[in-house]
Amino acid sequence: MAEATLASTLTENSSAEPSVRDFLALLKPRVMSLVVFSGAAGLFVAPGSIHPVLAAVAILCIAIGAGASGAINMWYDADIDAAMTRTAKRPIPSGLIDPSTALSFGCVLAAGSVALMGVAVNWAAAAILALTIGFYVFIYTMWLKRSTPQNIVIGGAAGAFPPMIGWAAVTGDIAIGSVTLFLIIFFWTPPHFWALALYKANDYAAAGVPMLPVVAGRNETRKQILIYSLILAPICVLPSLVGVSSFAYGGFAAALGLAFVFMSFQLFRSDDDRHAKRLFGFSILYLFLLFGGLIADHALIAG
Amino acid sequence: MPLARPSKRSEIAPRDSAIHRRKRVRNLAILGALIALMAVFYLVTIVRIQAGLGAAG
Repeated sequence: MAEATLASTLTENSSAEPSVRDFLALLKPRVMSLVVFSGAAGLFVAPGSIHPVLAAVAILCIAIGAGASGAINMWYDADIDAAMTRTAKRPIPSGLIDPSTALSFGCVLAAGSVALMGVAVNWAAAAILALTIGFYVFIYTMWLKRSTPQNIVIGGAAGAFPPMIGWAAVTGDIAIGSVTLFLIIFFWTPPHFWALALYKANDYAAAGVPMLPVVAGRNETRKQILIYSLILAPICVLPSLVGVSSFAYGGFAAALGLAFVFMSFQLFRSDDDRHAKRLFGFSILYLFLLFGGLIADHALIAG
Repeated sequence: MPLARPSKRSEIAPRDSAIHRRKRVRNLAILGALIALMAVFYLVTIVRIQAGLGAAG
């Protein structure tokens, strides 16, 4: 069904010439902004120093690598994107970009970003960037996404690596501090995506994606969101316990964590899409505030 | 019987059609990206030499 929809759209628009804007849309700019921000936070709070030009190049490579992953993901998922209202207007399902062009674009950017990171910054950061792209494309997109409701739990690791890349760009290694930043995003991802999946469950069901609300039901999903929120709240305080930040950040993170748990608890108590939408929106703000707090703390107090 | 050749360029394709504009913008974007890449490599080389980091990380 989804493949038939995609095929007919591609035939209708096969004469269309893709614009620069269509290629930019392939890079998933909104996802990229969060990845770049968390990567920059890792780079900023890491011990040591890096030349501003090399820091800018490192962030550019993280952005291009994230965009490349998005482009390859859109190539592979074109059939299910065509079946979901949220993604049906993306460049491939709408017939604006040929799938093979999108794949080539993604592969060139992926290889280019890793090579540039290695040559310009260091090969430890380049290796983690390559691991991130590979994990997102092969483990999440091609394997987990269509096969298990735990897809975003394990696949969430791909989105959690950018602070480690930023950190490694400065220090050239992996440390307990960068692992705590990884853990924050790793445990933030499930409640974030499950809140979205709760009010887009019909879309996911139509596309055959086994998201938790589709497979296990809304009650189980709301329970899992609350459990992950309860794990996430203390983990967000960890940077202040391992010396990455001061206790001022710890207090700030604890307050934000309580707000996150409260909103998850509201969703757990009443099965209402408004609570799910509110939690989804807040989860994005939460991550921005958390990493913004880390940067501010490092600039004003701990650094 | 030989086909009649178009007498004017505009009969082959309209010069300022949307497709041509898009292609032109895309080509300029690729040119811009290549120039930016050259600038990045130039800057990185200067910075690494000044910092005594050598040619590659």
